[in-house]
Amino acid sequence: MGRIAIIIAVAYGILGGGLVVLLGILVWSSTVGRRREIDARKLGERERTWFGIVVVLLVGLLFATIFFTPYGRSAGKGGLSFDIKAQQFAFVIPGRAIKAGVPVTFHLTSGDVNHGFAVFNEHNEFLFQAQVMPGRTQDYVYTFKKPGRYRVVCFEYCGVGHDQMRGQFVVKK
Amino acid sequence: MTEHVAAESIALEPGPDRELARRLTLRYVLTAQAILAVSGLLGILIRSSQAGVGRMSANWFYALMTAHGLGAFLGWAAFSVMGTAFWVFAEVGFPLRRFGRAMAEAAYWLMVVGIAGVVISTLALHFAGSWVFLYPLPFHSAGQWGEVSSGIFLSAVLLVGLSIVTWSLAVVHTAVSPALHTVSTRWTNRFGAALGFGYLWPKRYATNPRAVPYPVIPLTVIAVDMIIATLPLAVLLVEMIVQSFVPSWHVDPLLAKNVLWWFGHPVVYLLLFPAVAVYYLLVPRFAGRALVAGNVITVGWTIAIIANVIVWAHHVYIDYPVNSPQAAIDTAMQPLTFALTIVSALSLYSLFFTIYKSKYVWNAAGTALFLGLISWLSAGLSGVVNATIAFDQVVHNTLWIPGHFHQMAFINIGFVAFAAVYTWLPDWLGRPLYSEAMAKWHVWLTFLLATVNSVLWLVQGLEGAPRRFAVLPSNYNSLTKAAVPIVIALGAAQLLFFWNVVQTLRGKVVVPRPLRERWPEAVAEAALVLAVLGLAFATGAAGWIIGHYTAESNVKTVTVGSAPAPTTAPSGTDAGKRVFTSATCGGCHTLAAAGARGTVGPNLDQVKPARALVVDRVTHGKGAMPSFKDSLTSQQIQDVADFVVASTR
Repeated sequence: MGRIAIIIAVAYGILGGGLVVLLGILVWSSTVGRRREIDARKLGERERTWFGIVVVLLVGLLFATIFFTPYGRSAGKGGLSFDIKAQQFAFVIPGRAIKAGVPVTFHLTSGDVNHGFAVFNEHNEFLFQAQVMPGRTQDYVYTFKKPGRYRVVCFEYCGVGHDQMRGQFVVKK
Repeated sequence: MTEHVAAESIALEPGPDRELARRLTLRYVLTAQAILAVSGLLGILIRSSQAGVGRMSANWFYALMTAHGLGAFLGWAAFSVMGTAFWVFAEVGFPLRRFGRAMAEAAYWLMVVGIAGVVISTLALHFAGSWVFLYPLPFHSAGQWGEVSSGIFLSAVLLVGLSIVTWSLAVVHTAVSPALHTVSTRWTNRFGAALGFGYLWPKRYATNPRAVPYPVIPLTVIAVDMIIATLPLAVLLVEMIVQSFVPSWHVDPLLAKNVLWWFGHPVVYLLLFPAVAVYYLLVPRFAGRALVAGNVITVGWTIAIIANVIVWAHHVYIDYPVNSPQAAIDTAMQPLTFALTIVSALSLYSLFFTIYKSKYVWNAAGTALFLGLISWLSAGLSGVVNATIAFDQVVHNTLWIPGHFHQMAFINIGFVAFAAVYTWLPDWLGRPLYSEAMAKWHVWLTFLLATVNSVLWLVQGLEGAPRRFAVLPSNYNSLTKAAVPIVIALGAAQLLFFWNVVQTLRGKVVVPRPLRERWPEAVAEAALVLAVLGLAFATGAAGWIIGHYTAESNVKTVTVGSAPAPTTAPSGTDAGKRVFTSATCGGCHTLAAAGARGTVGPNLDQVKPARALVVDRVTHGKGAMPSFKDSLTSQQIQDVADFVVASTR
């Protein structure tokens, strides 16, 4: 699992799993307890406070995450360029190696339908993905830290051979 | 705050209006459950096939996947709650008038014929373009299905879309009606009142003697949104249908993708919002008190009606081709999508506090609604992950997504559909439910098994397992195998539901006896269910262990991607075999010597191509076969040709 996947697993495990179960037990047990009165009017009015809390939480999450998009990245002057063409059901990848530590721009194109360009390292760790659309060029900038053989998997359903559409390239020192 | 009048006191009186709603709803809901039976079975088959149990060919897998998706999502979940909406209206005193009735009838038949078309085009004519039929995939079938199949499939989806539009017209017509009792008769005031504006501006949108019933608000919101969302898709579908027999027609794939999701996002709420209407109606009933809601809930629904139709691009966060405004659109969609979650947050607040410290009725329906709310909250939180661009990069098109939406569509909305059947089937038929105890077992077993099933997907997704894969890379085998007994047990649990419905239709009833009289049976029942659950989990665990062990031993040879790197530069057929594997020729071709089983291109074992032909095709490509002259050296091409020729002679 990559770093972001671990963040999601931990956060969702706590909130979507643990907290939800706790809330469920709390609400359920309150209906079998002795004191079963609430002030519905007051709780109705307090919904406004809850609204405020939700807005604050969402704005917080927005500002914590919105700067981590893949948009508008550039490999800069010293960057490498790597053209990849996706086609049912293969990736046409240049035979030359990519240099580790140097930002590389993948120029992704498709010859037929929508494909996905997902890259895994030798330990099957999922690194990144981008869509590849016919008639357009999609760029993705990435810097490989470690040399090795990297695997490409198609990540957009593209027809009957989709699950066998793979490729690979090499990153050298 | 305007006082809410309890729904019971305002339902339609017995008479022709109530009878009409009863007949319509019963027809919608029973047809939808029949579709569940078929599409659910397809779901079990494809998940098992992924694990190697009853492995089917790739074309069958993807055709079944297409039918399962549309069938379960629209034919069952949406169709169920669409039908139930008419009964919700009857229960809050809103009769269907002539136009609404005509639209409701039309919507039923359009959906039935549309789903039948989906079944024919996929199961009989092999269309396997997935339910999103991402343009231009229907026209690039790699020889697996023809233009006729695409044309029939797209026409069928168009009928389903028209069903949604006609249903929406019926709902708006019924909501914005004299039953609102607005003081002003202007349509704008009525429309505002149906959206709940009277809770915020009691004078301008005055209703007398009672405020608009809460369940009317989400129904009005989704009906308006679905009209706006579906019409552009209908235009795209017409274009694609024409293209299926006039191939020179085409549209921009980026535009087509945006139009698809312009519909594809709101359609999720075609399931959720009518389900919320049922929650708003039934949860207060089971809790024995009015819905706990402040005026701010109207703010939530006003945000929803706007945001719902302007958040589509969160489905294309990782599409941002150069020289297009897509990146800016995608960025804007994150805060808008966040805004849309507010209505869920407010509704969940209201519904949980309505139950909190109440004398809640824990019958099968009440339990299903409560567990549905739990799933809604949990699936809503995984939805926030999807809505966040930084996180979506990691989960997009992985099994995390089916994990998320099965929790939302099956154990939230589906549970509302089950609760509606368990509560109202007796009303619709005029006879009691066959077995309340059976219903309760069904609800609990389904909740537990479907939750585990979704969690397996969520975990696989975070490990990078792609969705829509007929055969997953072997390193995901453990959890895929563990899922098989779970989905089979889940399917078996649905038999409790179908049997209950069938017996109720036949007029049978199990007379409940006091527990002390029937405790031996109760113990036996409990033991049986525990045994089934235990067996499912034990087989699941065994599958996991076996899969895990197998994956470990294979991890160095069969992994995501392909064979290990050659360390030296060997020559002859050994090198050719490496090229064959690394260039993924096996994705399309069968070649026993390389263990390749592709079925898209010619079977090399059978055609035994000449060496010169292999060199030419690999170098220049032809038809669906790409050219490899940029990715392979001429030496590599010679090697792979040697290998193919040597291994097929």
